[in-house]
Amino acid sequence: MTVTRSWIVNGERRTVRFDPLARLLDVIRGQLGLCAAKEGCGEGECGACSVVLDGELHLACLTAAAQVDDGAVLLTAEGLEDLELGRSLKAAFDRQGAVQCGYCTPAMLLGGYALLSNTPSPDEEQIRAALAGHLCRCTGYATIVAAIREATS
Amino acid sequence: MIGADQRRKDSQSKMAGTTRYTADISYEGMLHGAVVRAPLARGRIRAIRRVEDAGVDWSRVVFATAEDIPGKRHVQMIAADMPFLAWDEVFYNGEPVALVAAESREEAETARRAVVVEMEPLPATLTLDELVERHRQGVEQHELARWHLGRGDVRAGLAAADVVLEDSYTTPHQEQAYLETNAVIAVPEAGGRMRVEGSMQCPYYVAPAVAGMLGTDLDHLHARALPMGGAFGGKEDFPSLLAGHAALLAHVSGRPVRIVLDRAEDVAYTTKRHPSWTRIRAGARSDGTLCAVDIDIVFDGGAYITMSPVVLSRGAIHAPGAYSWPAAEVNAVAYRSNTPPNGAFRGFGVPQTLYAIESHVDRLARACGMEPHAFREKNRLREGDLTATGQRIDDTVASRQVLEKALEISGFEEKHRAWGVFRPAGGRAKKGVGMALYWHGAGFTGGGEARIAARVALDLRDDGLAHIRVSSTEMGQGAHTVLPQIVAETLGVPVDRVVVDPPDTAEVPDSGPTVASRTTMIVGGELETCARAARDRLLEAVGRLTGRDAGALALEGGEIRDGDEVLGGFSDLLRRALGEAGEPRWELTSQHRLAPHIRWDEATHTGDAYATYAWGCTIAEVEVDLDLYEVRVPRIWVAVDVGRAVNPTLARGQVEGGTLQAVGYALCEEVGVRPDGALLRDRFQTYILPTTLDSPRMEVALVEVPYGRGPGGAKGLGEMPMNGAAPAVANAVEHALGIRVCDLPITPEKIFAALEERK
Repeated sequence: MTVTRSWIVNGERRTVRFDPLARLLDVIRGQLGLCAAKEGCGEGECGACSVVLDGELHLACLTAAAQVDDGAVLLTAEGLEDLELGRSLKAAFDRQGAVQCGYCTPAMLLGGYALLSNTPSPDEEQIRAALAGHLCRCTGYATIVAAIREATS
Repeated sequence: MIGADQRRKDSQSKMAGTTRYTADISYEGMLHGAVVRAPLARGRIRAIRRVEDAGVDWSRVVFATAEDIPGKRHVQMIAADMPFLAWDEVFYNGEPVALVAAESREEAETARRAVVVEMEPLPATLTLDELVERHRQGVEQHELARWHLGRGDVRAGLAAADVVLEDSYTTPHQEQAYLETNAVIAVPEAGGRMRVEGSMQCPYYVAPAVAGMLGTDLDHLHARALPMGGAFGGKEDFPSLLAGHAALLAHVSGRPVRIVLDRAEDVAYTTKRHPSWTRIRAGARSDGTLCAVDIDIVFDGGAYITMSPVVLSRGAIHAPGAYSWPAAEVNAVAYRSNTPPNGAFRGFGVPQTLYAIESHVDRLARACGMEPHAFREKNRLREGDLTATGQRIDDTVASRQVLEKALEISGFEEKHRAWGVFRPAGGRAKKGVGMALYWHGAGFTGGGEARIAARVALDLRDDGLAHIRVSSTEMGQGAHTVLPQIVAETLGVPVDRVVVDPPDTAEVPDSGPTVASRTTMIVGGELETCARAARDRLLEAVGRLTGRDAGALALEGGEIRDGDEVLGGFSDLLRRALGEAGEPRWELTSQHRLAPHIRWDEATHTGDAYATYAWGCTIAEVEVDLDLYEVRVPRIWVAVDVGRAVNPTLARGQVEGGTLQAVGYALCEEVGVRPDGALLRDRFQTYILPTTLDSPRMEVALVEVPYGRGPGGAKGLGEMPMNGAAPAVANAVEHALGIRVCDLPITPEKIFAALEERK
């Protein structure tokens, strides 16, 4: 038995077929071939698997792919280059030195994207609260927070 | 370029999600491997059985035990005591005993669970407490390493002191918690060769270990480091074991095999920071002059030797701290326990002993009636002073600069006088401020760099680029940006004209492991030499090509000039010169030698322990909630001496990241051991890492006291930031509450207990 869904992925219509119990993360990484979303813990603690689903940030490791309806709009880090806010976030991350090992980076960018889409000028507390579900072991977070601030200005 | 905030070479692909880490790579016909593990902390294996009727079609599963190993059964490290797969006695819960591989990860997992390991249990040692108890009672136990070092008459020194303070300090396991778990792929190649590739800091550790296991040589087995999602020492020695597992499955099946650990396996079974116990007896005169220190150190090495001798050595050498002691003695021992082997983690033994001595020095200052910064200023190591190993500290000492800078940016003196236990702040929180002064030897200890004798190569190629060929890996620290900066600076070309070839043992010389804060300083230094030779070689060739005197030519900003006249761009002229010579590339090589004045006796641990030291001072502000006893760290200030920051943005990133790891070490990170020897907190739901909400605002000051033998003056940096924050936080907590927790992490439970005890 398989489930079929048709989603808008990074601006393109994509049709996927998967096992009813499949995790969204495995469908994205496997069938869609988009590897920016990472499995860091598999239990919703690290946030490295985050994707933006209909404008909201979701943990793809805890989301059943079958729960994502036809017509859903999915954004992964691969799609950020096509968006103005995505490009300015990436430029700010690069300038601030917010990228180190890179494993948390795609999801961090999406976390910033989801925040700024809903709250265009967050203060530092709001940025820190919005990113509290993303673990980064390399940076100490300061450069990431600074990059998101920079992208707002 | 040196000193410039050059953007990372890998940032665009990492942000776009196109960087391929090990778990992102598949091959045609690839199988998924999994490791079958021992269910007890210690015992003898009686049988390894594949259960029939467990929903597994065993004809579809590749299965291997130690009996299938064609070559050496032990992993070649400092000692060869750890088996790839146990076949007789097991020394920790979770030790690998068999391997399975199947078409999917799920099938492999099902098969793994359907293997039963029958064992006869034996008595096990599970905790640091047990090791320390036996140590204190003088009961003999299995030693993995032991060192003694010292200088001067400690007994007389302590007898002459006005104040003598004794206490002991303990630290727990710490998990590296890189976001990418350990992962490796073994790929059979034509001609009976095999490649192992994956998340590894040290391909030249992995290749000989796996070749030995397969009974082959380095011509038939090569190791390639792929982009790494963090490592912090956790991918120094462990990948040799995991690569052996993937290679054995690939050898048995003839197919590519990938093993990606899940988070729980990675936390539970890979190396961690050694738990430690450090007892210090230290004396000072009432005017604050240090007299003598006697230090006794016990590390829990875990089940096998792995890196314990060198971790313990570095911890022991740094144990007296960044101070001038007229007499000092250090006895250090690592014992075996029946827990997973402990290994490398940023700081490599130093965060443990530095936490102890910096806590103790703070208390000694108070006992002498001195403020913490004044006491440190009085006693810090200065140019010309001797360390406990008898090394005379040279002109690169920056203890004064980092101390002054940290005091200045933090406003420590004012805060220290205004806050603290005797002047409670309003509300339900008390504020405190604490400091730590520290050092960190750059590069391998003693003769280590002479033994490694790092070899590097720089190619000028007909693609118009300079190619760096080293085994030094990129794990997020920025080596593959910083090394090109050093080459570009010396060669006189833009950074985009310099690329780093993949660290593959079939392609690059052995520039040593990517550890010990040695890559920028040592490997970068040798590349600087190559780049100078490369420039001369190219200018000579261009001189011949254009009929000019090579001595009059210069390469600057990517252009070759004769006086004011531009002869052409670097890439164009390089292609033409190589074409003229009929060669595809020129290879320039260099090999590291220790400075001739360095003397080191490993047996007695006397002499020049490190070619140079980096210096740091960390100041932490804490707020302790008086209802919950929770410690917050709102702000941290760090001043570090890096010799020269090749890339200040990346250097700050190292300092900030290392500092937060140390805050986690101070306050929340703890693994724990269950009664059956399995580790207690083996996942991110239970092993607590600092988040954006727990991390302090940080201010970092880079102090630059150049080191003559480092490229552009650079010293090692990566590990040092891990040393400072834990003792600074501990000292700030004492400042706030007037109690001392001598056992990391400083949890609310321990604060509660200490306050109750004081009542």
